[in-house]
Amino acid sequence: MKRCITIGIIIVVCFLCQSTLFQYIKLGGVVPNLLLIVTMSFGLMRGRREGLLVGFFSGLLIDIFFGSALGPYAFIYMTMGYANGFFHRIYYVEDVLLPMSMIAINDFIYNVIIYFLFFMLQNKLHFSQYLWQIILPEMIYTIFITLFFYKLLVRINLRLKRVKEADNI
Amino acid sequence: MNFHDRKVIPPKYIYLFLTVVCIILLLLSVIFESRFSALKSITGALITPMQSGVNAVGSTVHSGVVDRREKKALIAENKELTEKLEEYSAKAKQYEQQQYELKRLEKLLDLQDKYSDYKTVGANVIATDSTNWFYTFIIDKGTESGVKVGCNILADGGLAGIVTEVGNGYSKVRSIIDDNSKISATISGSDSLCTISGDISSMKNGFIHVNYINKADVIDDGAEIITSHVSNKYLPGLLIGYVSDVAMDSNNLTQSGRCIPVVDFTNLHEVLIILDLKTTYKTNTNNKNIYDSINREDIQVPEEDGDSDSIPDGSTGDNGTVSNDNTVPDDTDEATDSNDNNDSNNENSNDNPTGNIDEADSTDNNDTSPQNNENDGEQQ
Repeated sequence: MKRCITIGIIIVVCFLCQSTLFQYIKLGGVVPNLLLIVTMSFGLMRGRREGLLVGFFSGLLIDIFFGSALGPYAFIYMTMGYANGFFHRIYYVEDVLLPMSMIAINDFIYNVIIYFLFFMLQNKLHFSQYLWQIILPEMIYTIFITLFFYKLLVRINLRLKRVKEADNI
Repeated sequence: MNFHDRKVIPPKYIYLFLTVVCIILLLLSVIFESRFSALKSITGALITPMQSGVNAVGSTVHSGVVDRREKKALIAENKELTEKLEEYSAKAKQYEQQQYELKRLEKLLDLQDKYSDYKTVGANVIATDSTNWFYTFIIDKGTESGVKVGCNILADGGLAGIVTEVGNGYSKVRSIIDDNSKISATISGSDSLCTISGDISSMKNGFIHVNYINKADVIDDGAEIITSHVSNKYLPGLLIGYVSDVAMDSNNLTQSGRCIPVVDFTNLHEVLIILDLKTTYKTNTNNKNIYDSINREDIQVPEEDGDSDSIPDGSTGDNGTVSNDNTVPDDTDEATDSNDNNDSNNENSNDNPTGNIDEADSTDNNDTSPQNNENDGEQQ
């Protein structure tokens, strides 16, 4: 229960930061994808089940606020969370390289999917322009933020685990 | 509850289940758009106060930092500006007199100044789209201030966007640079109609696109682009931006160029909402298109199902226009839907000189679903 509430708060706070605070510290006109970091981290730290649930609710929040139809973002984020869950078995708490490379790949795939769904089908075919203007800047910024943010999430996760163990005892 | 405790359901089944949920949600939210607005306004009511709170903190810190940095520059600028002010106040008096004369002459011509008496209300931008791909933003005024779907939004003296969703205390605005935005516009001085289509990637270089300019028109760089009289969503005569780099399309039938918006979208904080709507005709779900609604008002058909109430004004008529364009013999509207985004499409471009590209198509669908996007490609 505590875990549920904590994760819920994390998702909402990240969403708020992404849509408000980070607008003031844009780099290259993009904001980092905090919700994707959360989805990736929980997928990695806790496995497929939690990854997909966290992803689903993160995406749903974006859908409700910034999309007119519900579902597409929820599905994309959920899929990312689920896919990251497969890497749970090679996850170590101290490992930094894995989450870094994971977030790079994740963010790239996520943006390519969005380009494909919402832009290519609208006959906007100059992919290279979108790649340089949006996809790569967002990727780099997101990786940069992950350096700090991931540590924080790992700590929260460990804390939750300890609380849980203490409760069990 | 710990997810790991429930080992009974393997994650792949949860994944499949939620995928189905997503698809159902997608379909339902597209089909019953009006019903889902309730869900949106509930979450909106929960989240927007937090957004405006966090945003207030952010803007205070940000402006604090910026203030310190810019203080010196401002002092110098202030000196310069006070000098200029003197100069301009003299000029202003001159203009005032000319204005008076203009009014007198307008009265003579029976041309009332239509646009000066719109009801407006100011608002703050409290959040922007959290994805980097679209440019919609949320403002802190909603139904309680009389904002409706379709209200035009001004900033920096130019058109910034249009309200696509309203709740209590907030409304969602799609900006003119969003990829889903298409506006019918006029280039001042030439009476030629054109379409302004948003493009987030070219906006990083400071411009959006102007398409479908009549090939016969000679457009000077720097001419003003204003919203046209044929649009049924945007009020006429609002400044959008300045045109540049007009060149003939590869189809040799239309011209395209760049539009540099007057609104500074990187620092959008305060906006002005025009409460008056362009569409004043009544809409009814049973009307096939806007022409029906105009005719029916004369005939006074008794009202049918209560369904019509839940649909925001304007949207029904526009949907009708989209789906039923074949039944409308009017040439102008034919052009709206058959126009392809693709400039090099020869057969479609024949219609373009009429210029009435209906932005309604893109206005109503804020396209986040793949299905919508496919349709959009066909319609415009």
